[in-house]
Amino acid sequence: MRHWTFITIIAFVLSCLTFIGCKKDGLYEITGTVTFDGTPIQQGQIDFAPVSGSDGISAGGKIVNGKYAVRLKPGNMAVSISSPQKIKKENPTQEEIERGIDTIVQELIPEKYNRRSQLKQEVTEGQKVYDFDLTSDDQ
Amino acid sequence: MKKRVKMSGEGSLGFTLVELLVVIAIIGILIGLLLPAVQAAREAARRMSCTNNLKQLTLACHMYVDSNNTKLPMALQVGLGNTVDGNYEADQTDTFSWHARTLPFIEQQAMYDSLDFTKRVNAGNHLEYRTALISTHQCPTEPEAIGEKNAVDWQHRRSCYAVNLGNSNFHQDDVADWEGRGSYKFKGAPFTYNDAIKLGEITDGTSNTLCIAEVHVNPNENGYKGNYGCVIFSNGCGITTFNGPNTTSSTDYGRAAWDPEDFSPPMPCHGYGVWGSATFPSKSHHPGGVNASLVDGSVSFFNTTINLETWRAYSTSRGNESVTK
Repeated sequence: MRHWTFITIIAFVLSCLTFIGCKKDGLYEITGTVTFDGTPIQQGQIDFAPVSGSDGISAGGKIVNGKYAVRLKPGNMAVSISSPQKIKKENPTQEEIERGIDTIVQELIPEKYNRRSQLKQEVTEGQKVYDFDLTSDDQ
Repeated sequence: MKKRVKMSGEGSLGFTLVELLVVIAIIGILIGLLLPAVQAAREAARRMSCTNNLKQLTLACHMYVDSNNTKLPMALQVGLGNTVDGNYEADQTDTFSWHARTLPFIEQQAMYDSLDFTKRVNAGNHLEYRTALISTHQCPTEPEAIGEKNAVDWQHRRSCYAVNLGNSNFHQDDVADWEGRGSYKFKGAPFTYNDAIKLGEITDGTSNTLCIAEVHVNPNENGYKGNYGCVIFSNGCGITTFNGPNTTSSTDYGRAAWDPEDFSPPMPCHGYGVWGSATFPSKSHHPGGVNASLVDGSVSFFNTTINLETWRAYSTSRGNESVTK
């Protein structure tokens, strides 16, 4: 009877193994912290695009409580970071209220980090953590 | 009658508990092995059906070409062609896209005859067209959804296919002054707003230029927000390849047009100006990539990890690139 128990255990282990080991798409996950004038960005978005316009893919991720995680191909990346905030319109029309378009969006991060970003980051295999400390002052 | 099963201990013919457990375990393993395979086969079938839809729509474009002086259908007629101070009338972007113009060629002549191209699509008009579920416009992997379901005047079917608007953004601008991400010029596309492109203008060759690609359908039917796939009219009729297929990147590079929750956002609903800077990518729920057709009528599967340069080269109609997948 012992050998039956043994076979059962082996079978169970094998069936478990069947479901392990997927999710391989050749992308490299990086993480890090994003702060603006010393405080972590509560919510926002970080995007990476290859500087050359070639070699690699464009990728991005949400920033939540200052933390992000992005899966990409390593290389020299142009980085843009934004944190828009939703603000209620002062005098929304009836139609705007009904259709839920009674808000406007205000960007907290200066243009030099998003639509006119000069931020670049060399992402290399072997380094997993990249932190960004943004400042509001102009240099 | 003879008893087949005796209690164990008397030279048993029955099964012990352990033997039963083993049998159940083996059946479990077999099902465990089979189930993912069945699911994968079902997904493969859905993908094939989607490929077929793309083929039909691309052929419809070709039949449109044959009956319209060798011109592809325009992507969208903004402002019904009217301009105010050189700008398209912003509130008249809810106009018919290429979907409506190719209806007669996917056996929807009756639907086509019911359309009035001099009127906006919504704001109370064309309810039947806006809500019709046309199977050729629906990828089986995507959910079926109607946006703004609570408002009869505005509700619209979200469907899954969008035309190629080129390698930059919806306005088809040069990206040269988008600092920090390398300069990038708009190099032509087979579709554009308010203008029909001739097949002969696609100098890169029709087998090297994207025609129609997939987009997501957002299953949230409340409101117009997050309406990925508002494509049967308005600006949502097209994609650009500035970002790769299934990109996780935001589509507007922080241009402040979006709500915080809209980072992987909607196909545009209406409002030409605000959406013009956007770079809506092709996306699908097929694992690993998206289906897209080329102008020559062939349909290919493009991997999520395709080199950005290659993907962009596929979208341009006069880029002079040699593309190999």
